[in-house]
Amino acid sequence: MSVTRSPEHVPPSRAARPSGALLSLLVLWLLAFRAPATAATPHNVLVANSHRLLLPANGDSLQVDWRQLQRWGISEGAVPADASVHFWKTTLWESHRNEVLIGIAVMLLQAGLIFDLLIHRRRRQRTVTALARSEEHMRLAAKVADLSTWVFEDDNAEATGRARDRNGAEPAHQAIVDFRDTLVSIAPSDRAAVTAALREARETSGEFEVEYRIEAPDGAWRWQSARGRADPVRPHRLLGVAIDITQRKRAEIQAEQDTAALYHMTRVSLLGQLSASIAHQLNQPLTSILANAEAAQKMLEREPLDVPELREICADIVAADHLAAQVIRRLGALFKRGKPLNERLDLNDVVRDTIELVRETLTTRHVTVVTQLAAALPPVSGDRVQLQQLLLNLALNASDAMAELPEDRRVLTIQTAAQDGAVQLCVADRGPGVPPEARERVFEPFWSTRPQGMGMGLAVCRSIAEVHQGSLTLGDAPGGGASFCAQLPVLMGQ
Amino acid sequence: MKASCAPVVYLVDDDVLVLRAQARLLREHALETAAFESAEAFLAQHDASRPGCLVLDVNLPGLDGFALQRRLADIGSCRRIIFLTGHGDIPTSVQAIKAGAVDFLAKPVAGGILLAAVHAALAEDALARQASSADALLRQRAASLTAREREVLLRLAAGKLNKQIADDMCISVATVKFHRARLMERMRAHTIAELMRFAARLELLSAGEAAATPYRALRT
Repeated sequence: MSVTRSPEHVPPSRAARPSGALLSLLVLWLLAFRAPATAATPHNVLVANSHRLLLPANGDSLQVDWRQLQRWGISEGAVPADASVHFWKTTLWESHRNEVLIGIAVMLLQAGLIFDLLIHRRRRQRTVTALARSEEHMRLAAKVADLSTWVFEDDNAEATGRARDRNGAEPAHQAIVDFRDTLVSIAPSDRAAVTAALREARETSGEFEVEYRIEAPDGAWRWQSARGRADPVRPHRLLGVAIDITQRKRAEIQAEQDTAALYHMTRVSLLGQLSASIAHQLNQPLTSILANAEAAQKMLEREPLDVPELREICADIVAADHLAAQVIRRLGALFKRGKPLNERLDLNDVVRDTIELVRETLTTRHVTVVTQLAAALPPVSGDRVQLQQLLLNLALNASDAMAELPEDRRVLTIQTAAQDGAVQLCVADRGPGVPPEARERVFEPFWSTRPQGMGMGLAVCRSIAEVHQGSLTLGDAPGGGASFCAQLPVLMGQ
Repeated sequence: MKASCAPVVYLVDDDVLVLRAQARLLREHALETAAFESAEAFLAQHDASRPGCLVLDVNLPGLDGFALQRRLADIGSCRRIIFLTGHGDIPTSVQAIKAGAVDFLAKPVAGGILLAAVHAALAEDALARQASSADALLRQRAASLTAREREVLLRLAAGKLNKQIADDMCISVATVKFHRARLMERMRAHTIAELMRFAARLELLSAGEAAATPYRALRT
């Protein structure tokens, strides 16, 4: 059998070879296995076909001159197998086969490497483009959201932060800002909170979020919110973003002020309805004081002085004065437009206080008030004035609802009760009630059944209940009529 | 004067401090007082025949001032009332005065004003009582007249002379004169002018009262 140098023996997968290094290895392997066979073939063939040549025989084997074979155009196949060929001119391949093979291998190897490098380069270019694009997106997003990124490192307790420049317009990339400078621009009252948040995040390797004010170069205060977390690789490094939240804060403050103004306005209008009652409450003690004083004046003109009676008069004057002062104190709080407080309150106490305010008005309207206050009610947390406003509003609404009833049926029931984790305050009337389809609508702003009503009362009531983490619902009263119940959570830690 | 006949100032107010102070003030001005914390308590103990007046707070729990005023009118008591209120407005004061209140005062009321109102109410009450007792006497006397005497009185009041009356009644002038003398005596009138005043008073009374008044009877 004859094995010749044939190109078809090269594996067809060559073109698709993935890497230059692998290709070189394959070539070397092929050469190592093929070399001995190809080296042996021409000699054997020539010897086998030497019977056709007329060279003098050396012994019993045929002697063939290779040059003559070339000259006469005799193919090597025609030489007998046992003939010996002489003057065989060796080719470059036959004389320097190894060198040629090595050369080819090196070239293939280089080609492979170049190819590999090209692929790598292309891939890197693609990555760089993607990175640039992503960074551009990031920058755009940061600009739109008015946000800057920062890294906070704590090396040898020398804290530095890479942060935005102070006017906050454009993130200052790569600018290393000494954290102490940044800290100086933070409002003094917020500094402790910021450092505490950073420290805690570093110590616990957790996330943090902190809001603070910084002073812009023009002297204005801006609100910022910083969020971040510890670097998972280097726990002492914090990564984060800072957002300018001045607008949001301003809107929040504005909304807070608007709500306070609405509460105040509706409260003052409520108190307007109570003005007759208030006048009465103040005039009673004044009447008593005046009459007592005039009686005392008259008594002082007589001899002997009735000292025990005069003493009693003085005691009565003091008592009346205290009553008037109480009325003023109760009203003062309701008229004032202060910040809502978060104090510990006994709801029963609030109810009692409020009923005193509204009692005269209800008496004038011939409404009887029945109070059923639960003993030992757990305390709630909230603003006394707002809760009084809620109750006042519900009580006046209930009395309005009963205006058409005969006088002996106008009964207003105010009830407090403790109910699993909440305190319930219910105000029930015996009026016509509210049809089920209108039950949610009564809480909508500007919903009113009275022609002169503003329709804010119940909306404000519900809002007050919700501000106190509670709810306000409307149900049926046991004797017919509407029952408004406010649920307020019990103060924690009780 | 007996204690039971002295006028009493009734005070009704739901505020004990006010009640006590006003009672003191009125006592210092030599007035007898009776204080009540509610309209119901007052009604339970009220003696309409006792002279006096009522100082009444408008705004009371339960029966309020106006309701008490109506209740008193219903039971025929014309107790003089001075209203006191912590928040007087024009409609309520008009309502009170129209319903016959003596005065309508806003709290806090100065002692002088309250005393003046109380004295005015007491004077009115005394006058009314006097008048009503005079009226009662007059009615009593008119009731004692005979039918003939009433007819003569009616004709006298119409301005007729003795002769005309005698003609009308188909009696003699002497009989008319006799009736007239009896009439004057029974009505305790000293002059014919006084008799005419009594007649007018009786007519006035009959105008404001129910059917069977003496003067109506006189006309029939």
